[in-house]
Amino acid sequence: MAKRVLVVDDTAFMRMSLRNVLEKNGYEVAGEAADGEEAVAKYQELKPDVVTMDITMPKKDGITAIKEILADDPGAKVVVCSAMGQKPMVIEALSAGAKDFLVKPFQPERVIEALNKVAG
Amino acid sequence: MDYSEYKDVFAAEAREYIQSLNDDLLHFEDNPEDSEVLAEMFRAAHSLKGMAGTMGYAELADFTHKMESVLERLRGGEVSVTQELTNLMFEAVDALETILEEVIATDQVTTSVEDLTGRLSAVAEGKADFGDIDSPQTEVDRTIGLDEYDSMLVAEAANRSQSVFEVLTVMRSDVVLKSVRAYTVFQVFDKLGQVVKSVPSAEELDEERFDDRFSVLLITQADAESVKEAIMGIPEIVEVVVTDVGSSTQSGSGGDVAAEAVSSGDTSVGGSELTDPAAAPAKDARSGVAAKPKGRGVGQKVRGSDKFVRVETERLDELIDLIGELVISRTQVAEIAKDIGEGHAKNTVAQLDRVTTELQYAAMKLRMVPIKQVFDRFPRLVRDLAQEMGKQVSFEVIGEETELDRSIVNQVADPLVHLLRNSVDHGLEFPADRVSAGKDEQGHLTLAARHEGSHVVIEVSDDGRGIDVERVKQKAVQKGLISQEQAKRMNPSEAVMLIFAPGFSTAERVTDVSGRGVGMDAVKSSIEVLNGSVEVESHLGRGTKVRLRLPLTLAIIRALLVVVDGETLAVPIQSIRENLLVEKNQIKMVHGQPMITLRNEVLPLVDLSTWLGFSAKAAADTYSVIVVQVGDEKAGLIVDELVGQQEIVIKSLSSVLGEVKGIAGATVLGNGRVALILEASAVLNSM
Repeated sequence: MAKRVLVVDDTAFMRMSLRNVLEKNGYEVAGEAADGEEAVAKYQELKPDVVTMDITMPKKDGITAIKEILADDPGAKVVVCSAMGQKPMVIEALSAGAKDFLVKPFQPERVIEALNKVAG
Repeated sequence: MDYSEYKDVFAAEAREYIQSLNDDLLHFEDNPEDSEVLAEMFRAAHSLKGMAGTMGYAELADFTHKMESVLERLRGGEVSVTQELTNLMFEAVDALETILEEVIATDQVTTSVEDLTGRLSAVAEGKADFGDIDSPQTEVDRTIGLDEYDSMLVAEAANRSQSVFEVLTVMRSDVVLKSVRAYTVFQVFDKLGQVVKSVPSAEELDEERFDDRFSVLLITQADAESVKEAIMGIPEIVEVVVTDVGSSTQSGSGGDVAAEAVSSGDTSVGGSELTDPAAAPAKDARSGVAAKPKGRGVGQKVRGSDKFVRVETERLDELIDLIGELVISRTQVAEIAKDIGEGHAKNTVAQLDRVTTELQYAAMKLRMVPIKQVFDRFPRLVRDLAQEMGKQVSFEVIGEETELDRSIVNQVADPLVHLLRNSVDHGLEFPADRVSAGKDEQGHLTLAARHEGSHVVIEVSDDGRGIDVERVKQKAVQKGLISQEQAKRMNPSEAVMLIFAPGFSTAERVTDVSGRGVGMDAVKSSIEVLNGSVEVESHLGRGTKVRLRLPLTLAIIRALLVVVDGETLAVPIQSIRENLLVEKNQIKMVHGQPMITLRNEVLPLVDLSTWLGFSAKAAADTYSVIVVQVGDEKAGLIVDELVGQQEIVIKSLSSVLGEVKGIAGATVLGNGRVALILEASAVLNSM
């Protein structure tokens, strides 16, 4: 059965390109969220196998969202997505419990490798 | 650089340490529960090791390191004290003395201590055993070298039947944010066990100064296969090689001593005798150590040439006091000769005068040595360190002629070694990083000594990356040294002082050169033993300056002698700006405080006589005033008479008097009289 992914990013373009990559590689995009608040709500609603989480987002940032999701479900598998210059935040996300990280611009094979290892 | 000059200091000090090891061991034999004496011995061995390493005597460093390991385990209560063990330690101290004398005499070691080394390890470890290896030459390589602390952890791990693996992790060459990838690997390591060391260091990994691979030494309960599996489970990791080092010999170097190997099984015990039976009796005869080191202190020891005599400073003090008495008698004789008025008597007294003055001076000189004696060895140390670390360092030494009491000079060497190491290792950046930070490729490291008031100040300053106060706080919280709350309240200068806290080190996980916080802790305590203090001034990105202030217990300073109400006082020249003659009408009263105007600057005027509690200065038309300055504060002090400048030897007031406000000490003048030394800062602070 295809793994179900929740894609979180505040830009529609990034959500779209991620969806594209994921669906081509046998993943099912269970839902999308455009900010941290929505991400937490969608996680509880959809219970996806994996979440890809952007860091910089309106309303609630990705790190806070990761913490809330993990508080609710310690087994949650979240891969944090960031830009090059966000190293400290990536480290914070990882120490908060994110399972891995992806750096934008995404390389499709990296995205799939990370998700395979994390969700598998 | 005159090699022999510091070799003598080394020799003298090393002998002293060995003596104290002997004494402590005797005491310890009768009081095995005395943890303080154990700590004392540990420090002695540790200091010896550091000194020997600095001098480049690898065998000596290595051997003391073994002793230190044994002591460390004793201290931790991991091995119990038995007669056998104390005997062994006595033998070790004897052997140490033998190789020390040999090294001093010939600069090399031919005496074999292998057997002893083996037994030391065997007894200390029970089963596990620090193998004896040839001291490796310092090559920066990618094999993991261990310092004493690491070896200890590894040995402990063996005792707890944990495994020690060297894990080589290779990631894809195109990884973006390599450092974060390394972080995720470390996250997994932390789940598996404990990382003792990493090459490149965690700091280098954090700063992305590595290729596509790194090695760590991991202590874990897990087996090799599951370690490999766990790390391979991390994205972007392409290769993992796990090597069990619990049973193989590794070597490498990075610290002040030859690195340790870890080995199990009974290496080396009796090895040398079996393989070379012919050589053993020869060794035995020469040194009394090698083959059957049973008789303590048996056999003659190779003594260094007796060009130098080591004298207890107490005896020197006694000599100086006696000469003081002599000077007083001389003055009295001079008075009598004057009364008699006879020419021949006068000439004889003049001769006596000259000789006693010279004698007094010579006696003082005995205690004073230029700090050059210690500073001289540092250019080489810094150079070697820089090379080892791949850094470029220009090293400047200032004020090496500064004279210091001999006992202080001897004790300031070790702390300075620690500080210089720290600067090169942690302070100064790699050339490439310096360039990208907009600095010279070459780092600057300065060691400066000078007299400052009643202190000698020694500064070690670098223009490196400075201390990251926030990181220091975080570490301190992590280590449980302070609470999160305390960390928040701390101002930067308080936080910086945390680096001196026992057990603190910012690079704890992976120190290579500078040790693990035992260094800074030791620096502080050894300076405090000398009644000195340590200050740190650091600017992130711009550099760090560590300032040692040492009292001039017996240092010679220049002072201006002044007379106040019939008493002669010495005012240290450093605190004097100028001398003035002030007319009565130049003095203005401001809020009841007399003031004078000097080149558009208003200075308070103090009658020194009143201030000191003598009778107040009688009103006069003109006053002699000395202007003193400490920091930015200035004041004019009214005195009766200026006598002149003189070099004086500061003696502290006796403990009966304790601290007297405004008086830094006393000195004995040429005429045998005592002059009090004024502490200008006390006058200024009282205003």
